Amino acid sequence: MNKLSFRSLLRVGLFVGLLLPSAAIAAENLVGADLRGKDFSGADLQGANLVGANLTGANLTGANLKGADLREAYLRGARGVSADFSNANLGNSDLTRGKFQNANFEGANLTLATVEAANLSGAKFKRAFLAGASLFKANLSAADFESATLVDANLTQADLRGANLKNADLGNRELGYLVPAAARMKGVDLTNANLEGANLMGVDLRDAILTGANFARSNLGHADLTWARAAGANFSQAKLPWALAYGAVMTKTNFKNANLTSVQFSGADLSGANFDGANIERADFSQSTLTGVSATGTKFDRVFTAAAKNIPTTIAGGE
Amino acid sequence: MTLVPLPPIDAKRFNTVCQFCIVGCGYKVYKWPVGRDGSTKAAGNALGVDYTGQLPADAEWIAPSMHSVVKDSDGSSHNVVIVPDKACTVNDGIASVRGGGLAQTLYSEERATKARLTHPLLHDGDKQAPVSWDEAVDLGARVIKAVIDRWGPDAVGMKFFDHGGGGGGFENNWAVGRFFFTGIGTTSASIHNRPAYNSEVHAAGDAGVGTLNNAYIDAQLADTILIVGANPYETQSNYFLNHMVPNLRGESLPYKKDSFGEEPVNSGRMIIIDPRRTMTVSAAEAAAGKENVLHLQIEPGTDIAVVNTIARIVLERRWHDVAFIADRTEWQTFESYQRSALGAERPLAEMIAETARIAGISAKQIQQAAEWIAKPKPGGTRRRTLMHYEKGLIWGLKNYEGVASVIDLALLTGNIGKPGTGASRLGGHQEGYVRPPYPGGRPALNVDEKVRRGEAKVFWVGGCNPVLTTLKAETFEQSLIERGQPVREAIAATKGKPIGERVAAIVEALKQGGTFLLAQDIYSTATTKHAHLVLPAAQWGETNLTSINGERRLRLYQRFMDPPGEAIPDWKIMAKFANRMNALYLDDNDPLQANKYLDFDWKTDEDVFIHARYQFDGSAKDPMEGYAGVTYKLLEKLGNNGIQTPTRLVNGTVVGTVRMHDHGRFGTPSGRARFVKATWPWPNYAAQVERQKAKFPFWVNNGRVNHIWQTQYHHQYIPFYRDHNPIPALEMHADDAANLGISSGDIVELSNDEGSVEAMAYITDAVKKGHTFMLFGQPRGSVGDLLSDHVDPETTIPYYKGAWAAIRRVGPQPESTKQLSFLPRNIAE
Repeated sequence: MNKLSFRSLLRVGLFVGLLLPSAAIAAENLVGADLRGKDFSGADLQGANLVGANLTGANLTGANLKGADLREAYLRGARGVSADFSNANLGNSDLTRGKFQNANFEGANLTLATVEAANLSGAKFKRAFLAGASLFKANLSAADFESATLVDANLTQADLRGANLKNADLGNRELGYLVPAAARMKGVDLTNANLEGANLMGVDLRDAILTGANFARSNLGHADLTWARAAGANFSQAKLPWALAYGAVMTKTNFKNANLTSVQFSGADLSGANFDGANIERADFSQSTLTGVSATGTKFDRVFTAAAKNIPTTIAGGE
Repeated sequence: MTLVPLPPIDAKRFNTVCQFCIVGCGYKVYKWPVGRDGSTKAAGNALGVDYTGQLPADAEWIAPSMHSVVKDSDGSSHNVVIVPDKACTVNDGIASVRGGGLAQTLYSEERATKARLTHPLLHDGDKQAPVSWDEAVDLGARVIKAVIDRWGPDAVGMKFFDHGGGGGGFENNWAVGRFFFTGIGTTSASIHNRPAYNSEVHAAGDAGVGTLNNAYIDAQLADTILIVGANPYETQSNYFLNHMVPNLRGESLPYKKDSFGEEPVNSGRMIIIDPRRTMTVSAAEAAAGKENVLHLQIEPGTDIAVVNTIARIVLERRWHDVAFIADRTEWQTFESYQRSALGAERPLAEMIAETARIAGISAKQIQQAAEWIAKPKPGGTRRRTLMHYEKGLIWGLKNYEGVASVIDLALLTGNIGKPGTGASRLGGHQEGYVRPPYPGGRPALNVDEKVRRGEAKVFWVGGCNPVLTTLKAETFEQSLIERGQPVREAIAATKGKPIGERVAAIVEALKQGGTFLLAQDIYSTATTKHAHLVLPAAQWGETNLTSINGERRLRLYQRFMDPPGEAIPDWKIMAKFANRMNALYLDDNDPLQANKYLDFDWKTDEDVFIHARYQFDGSAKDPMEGYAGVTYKLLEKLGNNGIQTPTRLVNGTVVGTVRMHDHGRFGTPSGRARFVKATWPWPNYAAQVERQKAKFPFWVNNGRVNHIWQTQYHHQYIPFYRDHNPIPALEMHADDAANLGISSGDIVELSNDEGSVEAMAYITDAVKKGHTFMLFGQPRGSVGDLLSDHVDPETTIPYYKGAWAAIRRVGPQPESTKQLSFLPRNIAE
């Protein structure tokens, strides 16, 4: 092996199960290497310097890329099922339409990476940095983003069903901040996802599917939930001041002890929602449906309920 | 003791909004037949209040000023009471001094409001005599047609609406615009008391920033409120009292904490840039403490310099919002803004020193203003500053640059579209005044000049009083008298003759330099008295209206009584004329012209609303005016909180917009805001203003007071309001008054080369030496007589704040006014 350089092996293209000492790889200059369609399945590429490498269509199934430097690398259409990218640097890389189910990106840096329409179902992104990454239409179902940073990421129409976004950071730092530091999540599917404690301040969740999602203790201040479908979602103890929820479907949604100051619920269906102990000061429920709402111990100063249906007696005097 | 009848439980109930200022406070109307009063027991009156004992402090009650007796067209008499609506988020049950007297503005044979115009009138040579609507419309339409056919559409001039919510409304403005723009196609149009058809805030439009972009609640959430050239305590009273004052007092702190979480919050501060120590200054100091109010008492025409210098300090200290500018504005415009408006190539110290010198304020005050506006809060979060401006800036030295300087400062500091921020005009009358596109260009044509020159063969004035308030008003009135005379003679000479002969004689008079004047109003005014044809209009309460307030809150102002005599809503008048024009052109075998007057067959006020609504979708051209899906039925349901425009349909529901630019998109093709021209150094005064300024010693500032609305068209008939200022008030500094031997109450004459006007002196510390302040639009005399004809060449907006005059004492206080008080008004505890 000592006599056979890594670069010459590249020409041969046989890497299945190849175990290369990381020191040997690190010594190799693979910057910008053309690795299109190569098969690295099961290879140990730990710590490899693959900056700008072209891995389009490459097979990285089960490969070990721990701590590898893949900045600006092309991984379009690559296969990396169960590959290990933990602590790798994938800044500005392109993983479009790649298949990385169950891959491990824990602690990895994917800042400004393009991950559009990729399949990352079941992948692990714990504590990963995905600031500014584009995950448009990506399949992120059951993925684990616990404590990950996703500010300014584009999650539009992404599939996050059953994903775990506990304590993830997707939002702005200040309420109502106009600069788009918040993740774009328009039309995202978060069915049954866990977003407990996540920062979602100012995120665009218009038309999103939030059915059964858990937003407990999350911060959704000034988020846009217009026409979102959030039946059965849990917003208990969440902060939603100034959120927009025009026309949202929030039947049987749990807002227990949530801060709903000045939330715009105009036209929303809130049948069976639970507002016990919530603060709904200056919230706008005009034209909403409030059938069977529970509002025990709710703080409801100056609530607007004009043209609302079935206003519970507990908040009827608020207008 | 005056006893006020209580509405019975079955009294008819209506929602309405105050007809006066832009704030648009909600009111409830109760109407019931005379003699069927409710009882003092809670179960016996419509308010559900027990009046048998002492009321709690916040209980609803009916002041005598809130009651009137009206007569419907069937002769039946009814009690009407109009009380502030506690459920309305704008005013939360507070009445302003104007709104508390709404009931007194109603037509009543028992009150002075019986002076209303009740029938169409034709000047027969000697006097204005009643004619039928058919006669009036036929004559007016025939003269207009003859003028269009001979001189073209631009020979028909118009000036419409100065009366706020009640005088205009969406429906009436749409109808007027349809008639003059779609029908006649004239560019000789003007609005309010102004000489042209133009926006007062072109600079905001060019920046892509909505004119009224904040919600009133933002005044409760702001860290700092900046007021430039405005006096909200007096002119937007309940916005100031119900939203700004709670913030200044710290009462909205819990709401701030609920809204902003960990972000540091404190009681609000206020910066006021105004040459006068207004009631707003003293009321703000009383609410916030003097240490939290900064009054920059500037010299006239220096506001642009002050605002730009504040912006320059913000830039130098790196307090500007870098990310907002990069992501939300067109960077090229930021580059040119730094060079031109902020004088980035000049030393900062030099700029501050020069501004302090010309504005008559200290450098420290300018520095402090910059800190209060933009210095980051502990922890580095951005300060939330709400910026408001109005006539001091809009009618100031340079309209375009003045407005631009505030808009630019808001863009520089990222203070648009977030809770607790905004950059809006405070406004005068209510809005929602949309019409089909104006056929003219920009800058708009100066119609007053055209009228003076006799180029407007027909001049139609509706709901405003230019003889009192326009520029060079004496000359303007003289022109109407002289040019009206041959027309009056022609009408007199053809009395009883066939209509064709009469119209021909009028056209002959027009050929000789005459002008045919139509005036449409609710009362006789200084302008209507010169009119050949007077058309009586219905007012607020006599027709259904819609309008938006200063936070774009669209509501239905319900009709609750009949108009007097044969008065009809403005939209009906326009429809009558349009239908007649259509018939006349069809008779003339001219279908092309006739077709311009189609679609005026509205049967109800809602027909007009729906017709107009489809034209406005809240696009960049009219960003506030998207009324998608709104119907009268929906507005009835929503009551006095209405819905904030622009509206849109979400899941089949009509929803509103709390705050414009919420998503950081602006009304430009790129969606990014533009810094607009706010030039530094600014050009000097126009020649005619400079001459006046050099020749005459006193600057005559002018504005409104809280108890009087506009030209007092209603209030001159209501003793409470009329008797506060029976003669136009002129505030003067004590030293100036002493030098001229003037005491409070003396009658003084103000004069310059444009004209003269008399006023009553009020000695006060509100104005600096050399400054005076005159009540705007008082029917017995107005600053319009002293104004040159200078307008901002960019926008055709007048420099109404730019008159200089000599002052002399002409007599002592009249005996009839001995009840007046001359105690200072700008004191609050």
